[in-house]
Amino acid sequence: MIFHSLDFVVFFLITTVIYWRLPHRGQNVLLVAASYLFYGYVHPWFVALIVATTLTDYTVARLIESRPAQRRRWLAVSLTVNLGLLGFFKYFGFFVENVHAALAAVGWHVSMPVLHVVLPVGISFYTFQALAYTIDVYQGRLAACRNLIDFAAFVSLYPQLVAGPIERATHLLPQVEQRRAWSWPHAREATFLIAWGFFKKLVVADNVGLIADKVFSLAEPGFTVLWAGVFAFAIQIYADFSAYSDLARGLARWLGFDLVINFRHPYMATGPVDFWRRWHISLSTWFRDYVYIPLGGSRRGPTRALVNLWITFLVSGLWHGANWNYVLWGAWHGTLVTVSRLVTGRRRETPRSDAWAIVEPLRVLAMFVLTCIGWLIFRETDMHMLWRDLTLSPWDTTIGDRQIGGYLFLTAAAYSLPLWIHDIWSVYGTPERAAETSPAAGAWGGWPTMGRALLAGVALAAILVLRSRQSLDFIYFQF
Amino acid sequence: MVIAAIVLAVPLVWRWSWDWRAGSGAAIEPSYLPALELERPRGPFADHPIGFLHDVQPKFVTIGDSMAGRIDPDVLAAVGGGPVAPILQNATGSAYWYLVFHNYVLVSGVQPRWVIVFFRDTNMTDVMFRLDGPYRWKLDEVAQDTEPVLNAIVDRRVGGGRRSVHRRIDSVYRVERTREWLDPILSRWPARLVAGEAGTARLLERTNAAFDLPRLRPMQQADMAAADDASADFDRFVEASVLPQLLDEARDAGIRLCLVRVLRRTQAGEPAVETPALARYTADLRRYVEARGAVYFDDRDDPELAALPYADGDHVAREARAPYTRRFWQKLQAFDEP
Repeated sequence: MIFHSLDFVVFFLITTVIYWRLPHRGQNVLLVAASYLFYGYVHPWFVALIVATTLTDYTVARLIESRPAQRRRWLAVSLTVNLGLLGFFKYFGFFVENVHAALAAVGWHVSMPVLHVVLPVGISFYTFQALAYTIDVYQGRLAACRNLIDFAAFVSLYPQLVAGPIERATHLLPQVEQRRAWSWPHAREATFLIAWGFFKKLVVADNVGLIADKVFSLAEPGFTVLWAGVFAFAIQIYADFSAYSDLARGLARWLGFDLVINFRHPYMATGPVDFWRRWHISLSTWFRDYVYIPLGGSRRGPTRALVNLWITFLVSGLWHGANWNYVLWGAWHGTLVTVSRLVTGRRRETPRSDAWAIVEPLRVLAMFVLTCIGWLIFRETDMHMLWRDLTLSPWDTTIGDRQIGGYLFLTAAAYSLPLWIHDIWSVYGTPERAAETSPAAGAWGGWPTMGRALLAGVALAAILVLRSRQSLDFIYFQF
Repeated sequence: MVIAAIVLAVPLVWRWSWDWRAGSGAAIEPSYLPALELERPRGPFADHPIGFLHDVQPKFVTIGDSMAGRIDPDVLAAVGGGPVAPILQNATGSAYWYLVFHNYVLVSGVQPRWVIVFFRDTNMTDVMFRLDGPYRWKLDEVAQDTEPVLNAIVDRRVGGGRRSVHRRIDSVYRVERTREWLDPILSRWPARLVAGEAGTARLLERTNAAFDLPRLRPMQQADMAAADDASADFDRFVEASVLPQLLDEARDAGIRLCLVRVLRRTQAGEPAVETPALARYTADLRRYVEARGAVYFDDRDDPELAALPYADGDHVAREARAPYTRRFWQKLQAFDEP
């Protein structure tokens, strides 16, 4: 079920009304049932996977606690089941394809099995969420959850099930276990988040997404058309993914939950390290805490720190999809962060003092260009085309091509203007830059309530008449 | 509550903006397709083709969009031995073609030997193809004040619940009517900034041409064919299409109907690969049409046609029209008994 469908609206209204009429235990039972209905709406067998993950991690965590001598073994069970399911459904085809190509390269042509199953949406997200819980219990940071329903609600909470934010058990599980109270201010904030989320998805992401899709379907785009398409994709992926996060946070608030912030105006980043503090925060902190730090982080000297950093980025790239371009994308960001660290050392990358005020916009612009190069690598799944695109010279264009590129660029820029205004306002326009760090960031947090209500009305007005006639799926569903 | 009221009230600006624009000329009328919309300003019914049919007294009437441009009327008249009345309109779909037959051919009282309809792939069972949005202005020209038959077909196709929500929202906020004047503005102004007022139309044309099918990656072309598979389910869509009605009305009027599925752009003289779903659909369509007494031609089955040159998109080149027409008549002749 997708958020921007009538089915979901009906589903959400009915479940929310019933939800607030139930006692705490009943609420959690309803949450699990509703989440499974939501997840299995199109493919009911998806539910079997999430149930398997839930039962495994619930049982393993209890066993880790009750049998400390065997905790390592039980953790291995959890890792095997979780990563095994993820690997089978997401990477099996990729693995087979590459083995086949490698064997063919040495002249050995063999028939390999092909898996004809759809990738279960959201499997990367809930697998990481459940896995982090078990690791936290293993490391003693968290007590194992006693109640299976509570745990199932934590793993499957439907607003964030399919595309995050990836919640930590330390943050979300206590909210599941405790009584939740209805709050009008919460509902109001949630409404603003939802309005802003729908605007970003339906007006910004879907309209500029059509431009990106068209450009990336061309056999031989010229330089300006290609980079107009890359710009459109940069807007699309940010608007689309941050919209999902805003919707997830807004919907969860209607149910009494507070989810973590996933984006802090990433295109306002002044450097690669800053970018990763702002982009898909719940995933980047996950990799930091469960991959980079366990590998030794920066505790074992600068060389080892760089190796750990690269491993983290390459795995993070592969997490996004079973294709080499995602690994390359991870490598690109690994390179950027490495260079940034070598240049700036350990000092903060974003000194926001007045002395830096003049150069800061230039740094933001430079980082945005570098990010766009990364998005080209991310979007272009055909490696031959990627090589062609990256080696395309600015002179590989005609006047007509430049005009078409300019037209596409301006169209994408126009649709994304509210997004840019919002981000620039949030970072530079508010006193003490409060909105950048406020929990309401992402929904015009610094504005008075009436002003935000007007903006939500404008968002609704825009959705009604500017909504793309061709609605696209959320991009991160495929990961 | 106050906040909710503000949020819901702001979009009423579209209603006022529409009322203001409507006040400057366009008249709002109840829609002839209430399954889609309640009311809107509409263009007038164009009745001159009825007079044209009277004047020509055709043996052949050709109906379709630009795909029907394959037929050269002069050549067909010469080889077929009777006048030809082409009633063609670019960018139209099966709803339009049905109304041409219903409101022009039948109303005119002429008795052509053949009414020939040209279409691509699943057009004949996709009543929504080129029906709403900007296409409605074209449809207005062939629609009477009420079109209960077409409306019932559309209603079957779009389903009740979801559409009625959209309709309610539309009736409150005047969404579709606002989009009618807003969409062209939105697509034109960036072009105007880049190419100036004089170059805008040319830039928009060039932009469309830049994304033509032949310029896409082979995989993307395949994807477009795959996307069509969603509508290539004959049994599911036939009863919610104009096809049964068209066949019934032609039979009742004693007019012979010939449906021609045109061959889409060839690649190196070969038809593009057809998906299994579309192949099944086409076989079902042929069976259905022939069982109801009409003639069905699939240009894919004719290797001679695949050798003809194409211009842009699925249009055959100008020089291919005469040979196409002669070949067409050669096939139709077999059914042209008095």
